[in-house]
Amino acid sequence: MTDPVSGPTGAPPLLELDHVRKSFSSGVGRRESVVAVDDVTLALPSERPVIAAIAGESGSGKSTLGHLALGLLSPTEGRLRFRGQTVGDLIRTDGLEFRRQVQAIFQDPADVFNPFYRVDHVFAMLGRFRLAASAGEGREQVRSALRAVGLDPDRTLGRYAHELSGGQAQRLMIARVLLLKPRLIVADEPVSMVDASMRVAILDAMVELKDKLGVSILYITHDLATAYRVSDEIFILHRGRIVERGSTRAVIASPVDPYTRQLIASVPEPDPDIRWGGPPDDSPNGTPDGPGVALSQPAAVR
Amino acid sequence: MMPDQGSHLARRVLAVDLRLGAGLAVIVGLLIVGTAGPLVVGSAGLRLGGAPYAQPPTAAHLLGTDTTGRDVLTLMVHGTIPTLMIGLLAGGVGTVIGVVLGLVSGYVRGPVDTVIRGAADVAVTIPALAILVVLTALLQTQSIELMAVIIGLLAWPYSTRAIRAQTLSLRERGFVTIAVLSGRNSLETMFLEILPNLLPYVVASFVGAVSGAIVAAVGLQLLGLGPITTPTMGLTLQYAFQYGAVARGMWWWWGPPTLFLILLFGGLFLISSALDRYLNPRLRGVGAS
Amino acid sequence: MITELPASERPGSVGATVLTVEDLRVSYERRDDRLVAVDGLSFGVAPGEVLGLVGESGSGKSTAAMAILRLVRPPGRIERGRVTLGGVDLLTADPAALRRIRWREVALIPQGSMNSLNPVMRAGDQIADAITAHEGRGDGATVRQRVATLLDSVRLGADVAHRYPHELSGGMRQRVCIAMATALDPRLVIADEPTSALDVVTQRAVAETLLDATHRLRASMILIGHDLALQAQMVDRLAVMRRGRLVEIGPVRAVFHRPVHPYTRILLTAVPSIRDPDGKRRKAWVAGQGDDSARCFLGAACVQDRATAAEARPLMHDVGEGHLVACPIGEGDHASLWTAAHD
Repeated sequence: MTDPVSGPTGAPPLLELDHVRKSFSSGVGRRESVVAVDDVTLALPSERPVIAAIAGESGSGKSTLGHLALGLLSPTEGRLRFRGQTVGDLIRTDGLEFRRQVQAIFQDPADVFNPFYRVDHVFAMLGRFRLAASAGEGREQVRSALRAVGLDPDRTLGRYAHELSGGQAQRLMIARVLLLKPRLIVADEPVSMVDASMRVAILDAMVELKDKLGVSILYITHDLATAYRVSDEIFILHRGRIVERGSTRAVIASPVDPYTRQLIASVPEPDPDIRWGGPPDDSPNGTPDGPGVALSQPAAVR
Repeated sequence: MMPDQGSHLARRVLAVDLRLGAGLAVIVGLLIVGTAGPLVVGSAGLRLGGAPYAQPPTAAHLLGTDTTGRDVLTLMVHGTIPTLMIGLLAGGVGTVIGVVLGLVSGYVRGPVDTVIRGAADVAVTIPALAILVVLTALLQTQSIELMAVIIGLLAWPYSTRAIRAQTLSLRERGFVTIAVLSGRNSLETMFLEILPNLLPYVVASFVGAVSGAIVAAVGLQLLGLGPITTPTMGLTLQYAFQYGAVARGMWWWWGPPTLFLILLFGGLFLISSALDRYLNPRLRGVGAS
Repeated sequence: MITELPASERPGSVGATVLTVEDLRVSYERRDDRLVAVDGLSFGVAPGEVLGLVGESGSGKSTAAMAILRLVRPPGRIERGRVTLGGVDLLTADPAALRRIRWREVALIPQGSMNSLNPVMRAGDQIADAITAHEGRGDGATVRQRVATLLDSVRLGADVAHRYPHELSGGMRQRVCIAMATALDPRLVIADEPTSALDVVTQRAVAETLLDATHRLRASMILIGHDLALQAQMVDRLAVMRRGRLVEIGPVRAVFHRPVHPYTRILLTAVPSIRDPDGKRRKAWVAGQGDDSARCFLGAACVQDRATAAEARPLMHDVGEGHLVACPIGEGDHASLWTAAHD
């Protein structure tokens, strides 16, 4: 199956992973190693903004993939390119510009704030990007970004992170990203620790970022339902490998890979009349990772 | 998660924790005695032979005199600041070195970490007092400050290990990643992002280093090493023992310095135990969040 | 008809309840203020039924579970209420009676229990421990046999008994906790977020195991969680909590397909679905429930005088067939909730 997201020839892809493998070694003499990402190849086009979901369970390697895309980790094998240049090189030669173009939103809205400072610190750190000509202009930019995400600057600035709710904190981080106007955002489980009533607003904000600012988003999640809601393309990750990929609607409507099918069948539907469908799990010890279960082997998909 | 820092911190902690308040009160009290005292009593009492020898406390000499005719009260009052100063200077030197090494080691990891951690682990096993004895005997300096610095240089491993452990844990936090993504380099991240959250540990380290330094200084002086031109508590005690104050029942000579040291260590202990309580949230009895 | 007790307690209902909670109030003393975590909670659990208790963070659902078993520790305090199980009020029972009831009549699978297993004890020994702690030292072979049966009932192999927790996956550890909870054939199992840290695939397996184990015992279950989709799959009746109060309770289909309280509707429309991605189906449930914001949404069901409603404890209004809704007038944000639910 051809990769639907690699664009036509011309501009290099926005983000390109080329047989990327990431393993972590531990133990004495670095003998034991865990392969978190195993031979992943994918590309996001640069001529149109896209929301691509990386869907997988915990341990699938999705967060590691996100950290690789952000340049926080370097691949053990393979190459990671942003707009044609290797991420490693970009960080070395023009790190600040790379950081401006590739940003992130993380899972735990409480953890991303330095408890020693007020939340304004998060914006103050952006000073080096020279987004404004003067301090006054900078302040105004921050205020209008906050308003754009539905926050009241007077009730948000000057506070400490623990005084904000999860939803407010997460929206504040979106405001931060808005100021930088990056080309790519890595969103790692941005709503899983936010209350249900706020999730929709944050997901809608992400779609707006794509539509209005032309930002592409790598949406990392374990929740297929939210992936379905916001993403155009989806990559199903299982034990570090991509087992299925394609347009989100197509993959979820007619999954091919057995793991994907089991995944979709296990997603609970918020409707008491639509109970869990598909084959129940008969594996020994009742887990798909129990010994001798065919479903745990990745299907032969690239 | 650490609660908010800043000036609110100091006020809140002082108000709430009696131990910290009491400990600080003792130390501040000693500081006041040491600063104002010399102005009040003058330095006449420091002269050898300035008063009758070995007198028990009288109206003229509230703490009596020693065997060379010096007024014990004057000795005490003039010895307070130097004694405290050794502790503070040595503690400061040791803590600064320890914090920087611990921070770098914990944040940068890799070979740098292996070297620093190895050095700290080895240094901790070497009896510092033995090295100090050798060094002070060799150097024979009369400078209190130099002695303090030497003691401080040997105090770093303890701070390093404590700070390194905390740094290792803090560097995994989301706000460190955000700092990196905001373009911060390693130095900025270490000192502007991580270090502020280490302040309670730094303070606790410092208090411990001060205590240890004073023990080392007193120990050295009791052995007859170290400067003899400044009447520190350790020196006064050393003279007292050397000239048989105990055998001669001259409690007014060996008593006050001992009491001073007890008060000093007591105050430091109160502060460090209050900090312990603060650093360990489970001991704090905080309500449900 | 206005009532403070759920349908199952009303005259004419089928059978008595296994558990009845009446006007439970739990608060926490903090340094500067007092936080009311559970505020006048009343409900009942029928024999053999699965009752879902759903709410967002801060709703008080976990505190309620702890309070039922009298496990609330200072600075938390049970201010008032009655929790009746088999004729005994758990909140006033003497320690000996409480010990007898805990685990044998009511078992709790606390939040995060799969990470709270003793790391230096084998799984089988921990289950055995649970048995002997409440039943006294028994014959070793009999206890081992019971452990093996329990493991089988949660679809774990007998080999699991010899393994340490760190050798088991999250799903397996959670099943060990389920085995421990069901060890003494309790009449009621309270499960607090039993699957929240698990993968979606493992979650389904563990959830089905939990239901299976409970049904086999013919026990009732209170399933506490924040995931409405999961609740839809598992429960017979659903109770929605918000800020310590019950806002809606009723048969699960009634609450899902005909939600009345604005908060319930907000929750329902906020849950994404892969089979109904635009929420069309759910919007249809929520619409047509009356949109005149000038009147209370309860419409004809409301018989309360507005003036007295403001001071009342959360009074529950019957909207038909065991479906009860709280009057929100007592809550300050009634108007904004209403607007939010109808946007």
